Amino acid sequence: MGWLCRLIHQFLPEAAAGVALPPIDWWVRRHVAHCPECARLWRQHERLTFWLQQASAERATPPDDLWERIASRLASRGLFAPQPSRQMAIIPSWQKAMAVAALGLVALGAWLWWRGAPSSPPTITIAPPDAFVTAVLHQHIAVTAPSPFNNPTFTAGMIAGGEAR
Amino acid sequence: MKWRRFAIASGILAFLVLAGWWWQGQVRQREAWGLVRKALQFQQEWVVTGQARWAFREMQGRWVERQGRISLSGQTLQVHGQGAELVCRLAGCQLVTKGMTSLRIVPVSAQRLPHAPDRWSLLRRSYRVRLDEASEVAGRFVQWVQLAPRSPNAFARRLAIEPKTGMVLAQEILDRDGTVLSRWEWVKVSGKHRSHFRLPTSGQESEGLREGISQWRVDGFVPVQRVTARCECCSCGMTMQVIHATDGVADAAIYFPTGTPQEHGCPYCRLPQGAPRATRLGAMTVVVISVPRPIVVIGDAPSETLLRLAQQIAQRRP
Repeated sequence: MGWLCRLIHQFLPEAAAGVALPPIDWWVRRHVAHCPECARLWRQHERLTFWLQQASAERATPPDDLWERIASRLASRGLFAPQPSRQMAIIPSWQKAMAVAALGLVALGAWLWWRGAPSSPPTITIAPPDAFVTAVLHQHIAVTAPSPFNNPTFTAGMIAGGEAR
Repeated sequence: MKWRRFAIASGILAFLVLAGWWWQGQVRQREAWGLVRKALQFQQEWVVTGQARWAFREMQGRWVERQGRISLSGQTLQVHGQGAELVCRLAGCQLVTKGMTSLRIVPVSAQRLPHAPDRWSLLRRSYRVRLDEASEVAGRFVQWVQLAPRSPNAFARRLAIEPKTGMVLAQEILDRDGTVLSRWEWVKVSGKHRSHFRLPTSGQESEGLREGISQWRVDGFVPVQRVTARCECCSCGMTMQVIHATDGVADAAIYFPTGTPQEHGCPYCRLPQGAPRATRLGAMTVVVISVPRPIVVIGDAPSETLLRLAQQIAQRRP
């Protein structure tokens, strides 16, 4: 069975029941026309659909005390003990996995945020440049002159502008 | 069953949309990195001359603007502007500044440190890139590219790159809150000339400085080069060791005065004393510490980063 047949099998029940979207219906029927294996499955689904439709037409109404009788029999066999709530137990495992994954994501986000947060800055006072700093700034123009993103012209202009102030 | 099929189809559609969105992002990232690489190569190979405008924010928050003309005659780059007169002899990278202070400091030797990573790989590691708007600068079509640092300890940059040549026609340096700290742009480009900025190289091993420098790494800044400079404006005999570190885009230079200077009145002899202090001109920050020994760090980075750099280096260096 090829991957196409497996994909067709996903959409086959709807197409056989006549509720699939028109392009999907057309695609499934076109495939079934020349694939004997899918055609066999198609016929099974057609029959099943027919039986289900018949059964739904003559649906029997269960007696009112059906559930009490089933519960009492199960209780007598020790298989069933009525409990106030079993919501957690009936949550499917994939939902639990999703919840755990979401919690994990939140924890990861919190860790990344904490890691990215700037550490407490060291204390430093802001002061105007003195003679020594000015001298080193001049030297800095020459040292960083070959750096591609530091244009010495503009560095000099800024230093001169700062000094003029 | 119907809803299950619908969920599968929706999932496939959502996956395709996400994949397309991711792929488009990747393509734009590749384009942006390509432009930055082109700009890096252009800036390393060429010197541009013409009229330029630069502006910066003072410590008090005031915005200062200047305009000037940059010309190249032979091997000498000259800058004439409001408050700035600079003559830089490219071959030896000797700098003479007029109108600032009478000072002459000559780089004696420069060494690229062993195992120093190249600027491109550092840039890729330290920054994220994003394509911004397209506009026109100096009558040329440019694409703005934003370089955002991966660490909060650096400034972001915006570069206006001409896609055809890779020429950077404007640059902005932004604070962490998005405030523009400094900006320069070409008003008119007259020409481009081969760059001859080369510091005098030397293979000498001295003062044990080389040992261990390659392992220094503070906030993404990696040392790549060491320069020895000497004061020639008086007979003070003052020399400095300069360690040039970079994170790929921003440069930080760490200055160690060496020897015992004899004060002759030149500003280079007056070593700093007192508590750590910082000075800022636009994005250019100067941090000075005097304990355990005098160190000056200058770079396009926040003062806290440069202070950490100075303190760590002061502790490691014997």
